[in-house]
Amino acid sequence: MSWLTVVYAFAGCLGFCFIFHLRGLSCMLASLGGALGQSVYLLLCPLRHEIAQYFIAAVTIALYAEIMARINKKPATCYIIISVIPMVPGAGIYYTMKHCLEGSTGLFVQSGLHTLGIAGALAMGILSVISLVRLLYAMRKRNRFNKID
Amino acid sequence: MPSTDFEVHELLNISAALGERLLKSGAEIYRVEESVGCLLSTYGHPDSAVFAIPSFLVITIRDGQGQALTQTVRIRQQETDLYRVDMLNSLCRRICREKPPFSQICRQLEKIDGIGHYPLWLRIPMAGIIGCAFALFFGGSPRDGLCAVLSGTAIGAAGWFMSRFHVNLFITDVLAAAAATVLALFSVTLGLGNNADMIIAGALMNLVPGVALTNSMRDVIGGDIIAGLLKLAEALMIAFAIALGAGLALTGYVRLLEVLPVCPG
Repeated sequence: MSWLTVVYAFAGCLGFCFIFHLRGLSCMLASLGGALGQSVYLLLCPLRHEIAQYFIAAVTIALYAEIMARINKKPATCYIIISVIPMVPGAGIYYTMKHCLEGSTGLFVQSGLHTLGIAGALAMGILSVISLVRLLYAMRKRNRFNKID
Repeated sequence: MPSTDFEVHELLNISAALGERLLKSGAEIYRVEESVGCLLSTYGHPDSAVFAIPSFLVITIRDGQGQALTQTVRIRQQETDLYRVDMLNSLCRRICREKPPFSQICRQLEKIDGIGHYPLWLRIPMAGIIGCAFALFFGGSPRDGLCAVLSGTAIGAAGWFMSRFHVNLFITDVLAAAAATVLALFSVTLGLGNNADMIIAGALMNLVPGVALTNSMRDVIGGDIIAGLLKLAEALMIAFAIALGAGLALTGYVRLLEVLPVCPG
């Protein structure tokens, strides 16, 4: 049952390709990234730590996007924007709001903090990969520069 | 190489046109600044200044006499178009490699402008498919998935309807979220769907600020803190709009059911 969510994530990403006007093979690759993220999330279920699961899934997606971007000579944004969507805590926002309306303050604070935590984990995951890639590029550029000197 | 005034003006116009298109298609700030800067230095103006935030672009270069020339572009409407970002990016790479004549760049830019968006009849039902996929993703039953198609399509249609009036994103999202929520609750009342929560959460994935959040992270990493903060504020605003819209519809619907005579079943 739970592995079906990988298929749903793929379908959802494919839908978003149309909303964000992505064309051609990139649609498939970006959606595969979404499925990959969800697979990693599910594989890490034994960790029993949701924030860590989301963080590692985000790192995987960002790495995948950067690699695909280098292979296909396209901006990494094309892939990362779409692949990360299944990880975004949409249900979290909704349940937070619902608990707030119901007046159950404890649940509201709990789900609100949980949602924020997931969003932060995603942001940190993407952030660390991009910084790493930039660092590698800067180092390679400097090495080449030194050789020319 | 001292360039003539005409060339300098032409270069300024072309770089502003390129930057404007990139910003409008939702490229990251560092990409806009780097692309325009690369274009300018290719044509012999490495000491130019380029500054961009999501709604604004300013470019300053010096002409042959050392006079500063500035062009500003105000970006009012932005629609994420990843294919266009890709095309503009490869055009810019080519320009920096081959240094083609200006007329050729203009023709290429016009060609990119000519690339159409996906048609509306495809995009609005696609919002429904997205809703369906995510309703199932969140654990809804197949019947919930079908109801989410309706709710998602409502979001797509609301977005299209409101975009004709050029109102701000906040009101559009509030209305779209409310429409989707009302439809989902109604379909559960009719007995079509099993679980309103799954349907609503799935349909609302259409509005969730994933793009704004991702882009803001990329901007912050690129050193553009202002642009990153603007995008982050946008992401928070969208999240509040979704919560407000869905919340209004939820409470309103429950009150309505209390007032109306209880329907059988």
